[in-house]
Amino acid sequence: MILRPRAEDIAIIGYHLSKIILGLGLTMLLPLGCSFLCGERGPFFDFLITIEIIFVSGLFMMQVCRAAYESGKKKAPAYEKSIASLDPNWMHGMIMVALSWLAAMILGAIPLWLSGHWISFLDACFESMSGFATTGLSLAQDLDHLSLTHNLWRHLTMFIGGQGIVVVALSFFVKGFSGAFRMYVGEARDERVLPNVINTARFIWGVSFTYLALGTAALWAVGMKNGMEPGRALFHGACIFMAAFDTGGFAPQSQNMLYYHNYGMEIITAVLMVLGAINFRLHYHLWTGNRRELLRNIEMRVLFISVMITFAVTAVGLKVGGSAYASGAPLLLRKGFYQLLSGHTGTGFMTVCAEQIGKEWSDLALVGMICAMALGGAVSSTTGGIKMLRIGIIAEAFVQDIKKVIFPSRAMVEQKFHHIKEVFLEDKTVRAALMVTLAYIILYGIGTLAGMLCGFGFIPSLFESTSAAANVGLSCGITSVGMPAALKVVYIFQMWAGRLEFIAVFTLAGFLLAAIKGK
Amino acid sequence: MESKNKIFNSMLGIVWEVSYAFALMLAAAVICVIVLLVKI
Repeated sequence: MILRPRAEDIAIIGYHLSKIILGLGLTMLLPLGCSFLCGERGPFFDFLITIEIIFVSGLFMMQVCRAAYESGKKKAPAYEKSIASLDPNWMHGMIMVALSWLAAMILGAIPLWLSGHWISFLDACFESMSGFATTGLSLAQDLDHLSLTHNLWRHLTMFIGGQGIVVVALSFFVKGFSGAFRMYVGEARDERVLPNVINTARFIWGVSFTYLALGTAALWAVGMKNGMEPGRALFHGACIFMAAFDTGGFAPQSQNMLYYHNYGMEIITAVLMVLGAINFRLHYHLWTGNRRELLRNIEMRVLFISVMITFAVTAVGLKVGGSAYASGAPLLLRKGFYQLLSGHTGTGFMTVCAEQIGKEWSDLALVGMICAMALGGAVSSTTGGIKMLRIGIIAEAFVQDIKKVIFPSRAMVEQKFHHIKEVFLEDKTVRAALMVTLAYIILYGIGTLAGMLCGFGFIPSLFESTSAAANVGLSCGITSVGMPAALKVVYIFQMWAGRLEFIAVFTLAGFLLAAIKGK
Repeated sequence: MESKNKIFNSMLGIVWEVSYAFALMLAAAVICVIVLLVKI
């Protein structure tokens, strides 16, 4: 029998959700300050209106939930604590995370929609979810003339979403919240760097800000050497850094990385993409002196092998297809490998046009790219997709099963893998890895089916669907303003579910089902 | 002294991470050459 959720459950979820919404509102002060400094009047009011909406709705929701909880407490004395001091349970945490991301999408889309560069509110929501989920698919119109403020917000959504919306709230706006770990896990970060989850969130920001300073400075220098004005080079450097390290894929110009057409930019962004695809726990161990971990860690080994295999397939595909990019090693590296690395790390930066990928690349090259995008980077990084740890675990499980067949029946076969420490392979670990992998494959399939129902071919549909669900952002031309609204909704769902790695989404679905059918 | 060690370790960590990214690019360059040399 399914039990209907109590009003107190909804009040607890709503109360903590309102806190996260208010935290999101505070992050908008940054673009608001930018618009003030740059003298952009229209964008200033776009953000001022949005911040007002967020604060009014957030505070109203907080008061309503508190009042609802207090009235329930009077009826049932079991609720002794006040709502603020009550720890959310696992269900509350997961639902809060799932709803936070949807709320962030809607609220983050308001200033974009007000700018007039997005034809409909759905397009603005698509852009907002694409930003927060670090996907990078864009439906912006006339991006080259978008204000600095809105462009900063687009890239900031990636920086916030890459770290995790809840991580942002935990790091800066929430103090001593013991339900934090449940929400942290809900954002697809099942590994704690440090024993305390708040300190873990702060370490994640420490790494991000260190690389923000180094990466932006490097990109700024290259931009200036390339002839850009210092202020413009700094803005582009910061935006490109946020999109690269958080494996997002937005760029300030409509031509994406092709706009710069510069070796230096491409090498720096390639390095940043790889850094973004590394597990934050591994960052911690490397930064505290355990440098051998880089060579021994299963994720880094699998990533290396996987990048090489998928690139070999893509390179052969480009050569067999007679692509101009296979005419020389530097070109193959610059166009083929850059796209592959961008896809594998879930970034989505492009040094070719989307239509070129769709029309000029052979099916084999596209399959190589699709495999790379589907696999993704490391767990607890900013990437999407199945992730290297799960692929490594499944591979180790295969080896274990083969050993069981080959070895004498009485032999004890124990498989180990190295991930920070030596870990024995257990059935429950393999099961969890296989479940998430299966869920991703189904998600890729749903988008492919939707694409085909809208009249697109199988390979392009699979490419675009994988790109959306694995939060990559590479496009072969399907994502455009003119695509059917239903397909936009499917891609938004894919970006959301793919970023949260399903558990929070399934919990929300179960909660809604219980609310309808429960007794 | 301890904080100096921390900064030094972090800097070395960054060097290792960046080296890994360059190793990926180097290995990819080798694959490029092999694919282009082999007549498919």
